[in-house]
Amino acid sequence: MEMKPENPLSPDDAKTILDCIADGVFTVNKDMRIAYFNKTAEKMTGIPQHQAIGQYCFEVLRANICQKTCALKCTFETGKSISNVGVNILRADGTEIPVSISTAVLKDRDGNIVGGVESFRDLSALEELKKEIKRTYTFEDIVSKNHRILQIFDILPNIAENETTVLLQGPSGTGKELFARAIHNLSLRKKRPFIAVNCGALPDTLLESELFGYVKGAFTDAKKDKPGRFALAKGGTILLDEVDSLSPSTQVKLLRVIQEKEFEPLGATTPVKANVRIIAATKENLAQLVRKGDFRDDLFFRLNVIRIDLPPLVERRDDIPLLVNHFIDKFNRKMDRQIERVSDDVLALLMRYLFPGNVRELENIIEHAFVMCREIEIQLEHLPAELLHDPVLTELSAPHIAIQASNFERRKILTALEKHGWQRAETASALRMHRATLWRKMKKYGLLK
Amino acid sequence: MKTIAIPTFGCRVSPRLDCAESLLIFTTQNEKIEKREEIRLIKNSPLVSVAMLKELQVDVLICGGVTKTMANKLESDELEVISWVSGDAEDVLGRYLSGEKFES
Repeated sequence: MEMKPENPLSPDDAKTILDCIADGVFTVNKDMRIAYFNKTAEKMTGIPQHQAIGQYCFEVLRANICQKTCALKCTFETGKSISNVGVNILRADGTEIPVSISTAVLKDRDGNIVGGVESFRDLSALEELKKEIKRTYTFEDIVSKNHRILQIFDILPNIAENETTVLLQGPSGTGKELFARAIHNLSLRKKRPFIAVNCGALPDTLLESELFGYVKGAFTDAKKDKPGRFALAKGGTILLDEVDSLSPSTQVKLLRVIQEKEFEPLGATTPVKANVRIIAATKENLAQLVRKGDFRDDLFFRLNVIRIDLPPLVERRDDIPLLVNHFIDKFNRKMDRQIERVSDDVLALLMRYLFPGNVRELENIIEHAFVMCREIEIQLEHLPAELLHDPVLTELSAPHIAIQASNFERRKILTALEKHGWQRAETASALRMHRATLWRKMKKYGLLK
Repeated sequence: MKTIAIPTFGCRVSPRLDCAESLLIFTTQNEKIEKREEIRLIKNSPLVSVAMLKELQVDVLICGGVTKTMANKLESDELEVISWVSGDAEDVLGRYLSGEKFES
């Protein structure tokens, strides 16, 4: 036999209990007006109970999702509870607080929905902790929790303190310039210039004058002295990127700079002292080039005093979520946006992708998504098309992803068409696409009436 | 002649300036509305900015909740900002034009 509680809770008891809990709780009627507001809700929103009751919940909570994807409205429509959705609310003093919200419907004895309840938990402390962790994993401007990169972080201050030449080896987009800058910023030369030169970007004749400068009259168009990058970097650091592309003659001149600490501008008769720390970078294996006779061994040994090998992103996949958040923060600041995260599907895809362009490619993907995304969460449809159709991802590891992106787009177009009574002009405008594009997609997805 | 902007959510003043769906722009003369325009805002993009309001030659912004950062950005001698207002946008405008003082 089922035992019934002898002393069921009175409404006052329930209110007392709700006032004691650490989460904000409020209830609304079906018009979204607040009927109950607990003490923690008062504290978190900065709005007293007597002011909140009777107000629309969106004018009290002021969450960033209220106007777009109201959790309570979704719960009313589906009858399903929502748990722990991360949003931020705006307090009466203008402070934004990160919270996680949960919702459920309230029913009368006959099972009719009469309102809803929403609880919200302050995540400020958790967010602070996340920031602290991020600070732990951030060194200068480099973000990583990968053990190989963390080992480099450990030795970087020691490397920076010394004046020795450093060779940075790693594929394109692995952050060689960032590491070079970090070494410079940690060194005693940090107040002097940091000059980066891409040796592969200029023909040899130009590169020589670019690096060492020239004096007036050195050649027909040399109307006045022009200092080279070594002179401009005086007292500071010079990064010679793609050092493997230096011609044999420039290699000899660079060797002299390292050995003799001096160089001669084009046309000069006397050498100039070079007070510069040299960091060389390459995406090639310089030792192999030496073995093949494509790079001078004596210069290689001078450059290779300390070598840092930067792993490709595919070998530090554990950094991808951290880097994604880092770039979201970066582009939010740069573009004055408020994107909060990538969807689970997007993260799953990125975790499987091979990233031939490494961290730079990931940065470009997030930047592309920022341009395409008008919501707070980056979805698959916001990613570059070539990524969604990458053969490795679509055929080998995640065949569902491209299909899912198509389904998503089809659903979005169908919803918009229904909302606008199948008026193509209005729908195209609402979807911010050209009418012809909409028509083409309607045909593609079989959405013709 | 005065230009008044009200960011909206449906027919109400948007509870948050940074989440507004659209912007109602009223051109008024002697407390009478002479022109009413609605500008749809692209969500989660440059939002309502000082530059945008300047471009629209807005004199008064009547809005809902404003973050501290946004409040600092909006501080300008050329723009009167009345924030933390709620209610039906047209009613709020009527109250403003009839001289009601709003508590921010």
